[in-house]
Amino acid sequence: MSGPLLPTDPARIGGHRLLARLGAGGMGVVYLGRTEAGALAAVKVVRSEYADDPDFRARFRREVETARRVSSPWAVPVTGADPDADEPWLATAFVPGPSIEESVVRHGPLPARSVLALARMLAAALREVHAAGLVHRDVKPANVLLAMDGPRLIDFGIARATDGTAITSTDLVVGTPGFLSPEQAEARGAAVGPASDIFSLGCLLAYAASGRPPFGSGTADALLYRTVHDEPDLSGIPTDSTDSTASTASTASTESDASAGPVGGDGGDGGDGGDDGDGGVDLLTLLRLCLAKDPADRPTADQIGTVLLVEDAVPRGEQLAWLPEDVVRGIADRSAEMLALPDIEPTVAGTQAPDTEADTAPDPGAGPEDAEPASPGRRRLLLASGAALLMAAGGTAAWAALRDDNPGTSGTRRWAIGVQADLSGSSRTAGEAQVRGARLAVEQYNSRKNKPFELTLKAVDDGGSAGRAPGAAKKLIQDTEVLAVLGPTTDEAARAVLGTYDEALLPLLSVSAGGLLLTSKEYRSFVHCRPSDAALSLPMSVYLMKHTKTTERAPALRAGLLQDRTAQTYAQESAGINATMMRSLGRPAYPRVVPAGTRDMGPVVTDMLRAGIGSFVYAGYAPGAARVARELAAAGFDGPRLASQAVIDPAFLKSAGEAAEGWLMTASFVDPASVPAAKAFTAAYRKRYDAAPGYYAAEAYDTVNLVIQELLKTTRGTGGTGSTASTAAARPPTRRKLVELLRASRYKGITKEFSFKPEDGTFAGWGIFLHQVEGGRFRYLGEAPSEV
Amino acid sequence: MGALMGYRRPVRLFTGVLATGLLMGGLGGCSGTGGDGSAGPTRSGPPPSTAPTTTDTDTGTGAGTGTAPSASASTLGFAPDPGRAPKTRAEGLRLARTVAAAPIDWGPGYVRRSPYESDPGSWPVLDSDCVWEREPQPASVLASLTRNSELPAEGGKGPIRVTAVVTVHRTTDDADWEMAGTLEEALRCPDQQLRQGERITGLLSQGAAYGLLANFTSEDSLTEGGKYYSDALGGPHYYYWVQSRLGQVTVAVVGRGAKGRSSDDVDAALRQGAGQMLSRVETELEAAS
Repeated sequence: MSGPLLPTDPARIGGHRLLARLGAGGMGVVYLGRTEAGALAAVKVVRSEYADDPDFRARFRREVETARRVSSPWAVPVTGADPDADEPWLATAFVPGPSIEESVVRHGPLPARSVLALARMLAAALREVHAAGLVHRDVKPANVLLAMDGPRLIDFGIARATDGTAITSTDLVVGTPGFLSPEQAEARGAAVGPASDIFSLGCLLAYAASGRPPFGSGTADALLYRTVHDEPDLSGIPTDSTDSTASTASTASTESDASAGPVGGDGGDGGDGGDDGDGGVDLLTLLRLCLAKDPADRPTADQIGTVLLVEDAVPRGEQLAWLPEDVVRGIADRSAEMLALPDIEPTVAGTQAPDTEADTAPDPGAGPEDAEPASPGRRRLLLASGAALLMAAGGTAAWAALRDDNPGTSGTRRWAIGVQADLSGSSRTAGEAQVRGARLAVEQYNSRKNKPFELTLKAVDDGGSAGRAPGAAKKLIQDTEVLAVLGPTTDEAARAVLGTYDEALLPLLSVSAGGLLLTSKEYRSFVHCRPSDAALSLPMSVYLMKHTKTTERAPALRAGLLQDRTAQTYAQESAGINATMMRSLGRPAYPRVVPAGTRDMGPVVTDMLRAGIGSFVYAGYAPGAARVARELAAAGFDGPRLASQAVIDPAFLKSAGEAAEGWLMTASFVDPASVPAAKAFTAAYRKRYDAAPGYYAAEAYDTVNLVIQELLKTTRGTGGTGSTASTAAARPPTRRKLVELLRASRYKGITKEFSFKPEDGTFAGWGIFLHQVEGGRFRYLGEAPSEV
Repeated sequence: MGALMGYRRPVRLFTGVLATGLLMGGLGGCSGTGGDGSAGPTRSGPPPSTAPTTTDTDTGTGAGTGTAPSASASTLGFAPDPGRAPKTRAEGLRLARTVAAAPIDWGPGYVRRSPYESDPGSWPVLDSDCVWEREPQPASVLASLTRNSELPAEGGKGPIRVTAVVTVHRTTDDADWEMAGTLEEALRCPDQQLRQGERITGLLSQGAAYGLLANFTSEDSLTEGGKYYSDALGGPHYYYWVQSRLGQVTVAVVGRGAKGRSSDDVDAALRQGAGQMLSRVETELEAAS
């Protein structure tokens, strides 16, 4: 980790005599230096080529300011800096210990007790960082050094003020893949807040506890991808708050206080937390909370310290026992290595104590060789109220419940609803809205009093593609806690997995995929929570019959019907049913079909206008609709212009501009902000996500509530009817039984009434709505007409 | 490839789906290889397990709708040699004659039916009254040839009548528009008069680019199903049309059932006839290897 100075290295920097190289990175070198007063310091010096770059210098200056604003025993203090020097430098107190990364490589994972202590101290450091209005953004094992008395968070090189004065551009991923938060991985700029550091802390702690990064290893791209989409690998992390060897469940207080020699044999007791019946937040739960994908679901640094991991008064001297003996020895060895550097006189050992003392009050000043097993610590990581729930349920839902100060109930098995959604593909807007709507339903359910079971939401991304859908489905199917799945978002993904869900007989409820192929094979577990794409065309001809009437003077003009094969089966279904409907209503359309990829819509539109059409129905996607809209507008056509929901796409508005005005679309979804029945939902959604609910959020919310309604039915009669439900752990229904229940169910949601054909699970309600372009936006008009 | 005499391009007659939950069952998309079992080596191979990623930027993003386009891309592997593409009417006619299915191509027992071949200078057009007429070919068509065959009536069973149509266009674009036009005809005329004394009703059509609806044999394909009535044979009988495009050429097969003949009997003939025609187009237009 350290090495002698090179001939090209300077001898002195900013009043420090340089002793050795501690490390070198792309942008600079870190030296071990000694102040004139004799204290050791880590001196970071920026390479001259970067120093010439004004941006870089500004960034370095910010790092210095940042580091200076943080004051914590667990953060390394700045001892000197000159960002304006020819070679800008920053000196911090020198901590001789190894980083967590080095320690884990050398000694293996830390015991759970040590990791929890680490968690508490690092949370305290992050609390200060965040209180200073900063985000560290690079919390990782290599940036936490281990000292006798506790960890030290270092390297504020890429920290950033939360007030938004960003140095780095938003679309640049900054930090270290594998320890970044999903919002960092996606370079979501402004979304990278304090909660991002908490996620990274979770990664760091998982690494410390298991020796493996929770999102594996591999290329940066793979790591970033897994961070965003996959659940962390937390296997092997003990669920007990004590050491893994003391594997007795912490709630079973039969375990005595006897020091049951934990791993490492430092003599620290198991701190089983059972002696007073409090139990303890287990590490796994803490990690799950920190590693929640949604930043809003993670605890704050302050909450970790004040709610999750509460330390009772511990005599200062005993705090040494936080690390196992071999790691303590490692720190000693490391210190000795440093001392053995040729340029460091032995006397520096003596200078170290005052230095560390300055920034760490509890430092006992003990030399490495003094690190004998300390007396059994009385440290306990206590639980605050609601912790029992955390133990039982864990996960983000539990955290949400805790925040609401709701004790909830516990069961032997968790009940979960899965969501298979496109969270990264071209339909991710719809996918995200569904996850959010579903999560809101679950959270609202969990906040109920006297519920017979706690519910968890498990979301898996399939990118909307046939390639990734089967893997996502497998994940949910193999999770025995998952009782029903909302999704997939796209038809392509749905077609790829309907058979898989059918085999598993796991209820699959889709609110957005709509092609007829989905229901043509009568999959056994599919519950279609929307009318099909083809059905969306029904109200078009109904609408046209109403709005283009025959008068005494002139017969009603027929409708032009354009099938754009770019949209393949979607266009086919829409055009086919429109043609059939209009014919059956006695007013056949003038149909035209254009090949896939047709860009010039001029000739076909001209032909249709020449045929004397009075209205226009476009069957296809948004880009083609925009071309047609422009042609029609150019020709001065102002009759009714209709399409179905694929055209409700910002691309249509953008590309058609003024020509989009007045276009009318049928859709299977509402705009919840415009639906009176969805008022409470919209308000709750805004409060929860600080955004208006997008299309499909309300439909997903309804669908999850439908599932909850049916799940609740199964618990009736088995336990107390409500009042004593908390004690009797209800058993979930089988997936097969739930399919049956769902297909036979009726539910009045905020968007529409749900009912199904029991034999094939197709949607039996109406559920078709009108939207119209008005003033450059899609305006929701309400339910579409169903009768002429 | 041309030397592989036994080569048959397997054709799946995909399932058409349309309208109000109506399922145009017809030929299930589950018939494995070319009906004779001699599938032989095929370039297109088995259906890809995952749909190809679309590279067409002209598709809806589906933002906010979830109805993102289905993946479709031509990964058929059909690579015509520009040097072999017919450019004159004579070359077009030669190709059409080579490709159009003869009796032997439909299966054992099939014979010519009179008139066996249409006038190659004309092609069929559906007029405004939904009646088929033969009209002079447009300039964009190099040649169009129709051949009629049948499995004769036998032992109380009526005849299975099949027709092959090959149309050689000047360009692929023209052939594309012919495919679109065929779909248009079914929208416009679900009931059509084929010729004096023969009509079809309740026609439903379904198009599918390569990769969709089990179309793994051509760049584009469509099916039409309906009911067939004939003054001579009665009805309703089974009626099915399959039309496919490879490059500038479209090939169509149509079959009509009869008393005592199942739809499977007709489908088997159509599969075989279409497979033969598609592999001949490929053989004729691709670079010799």
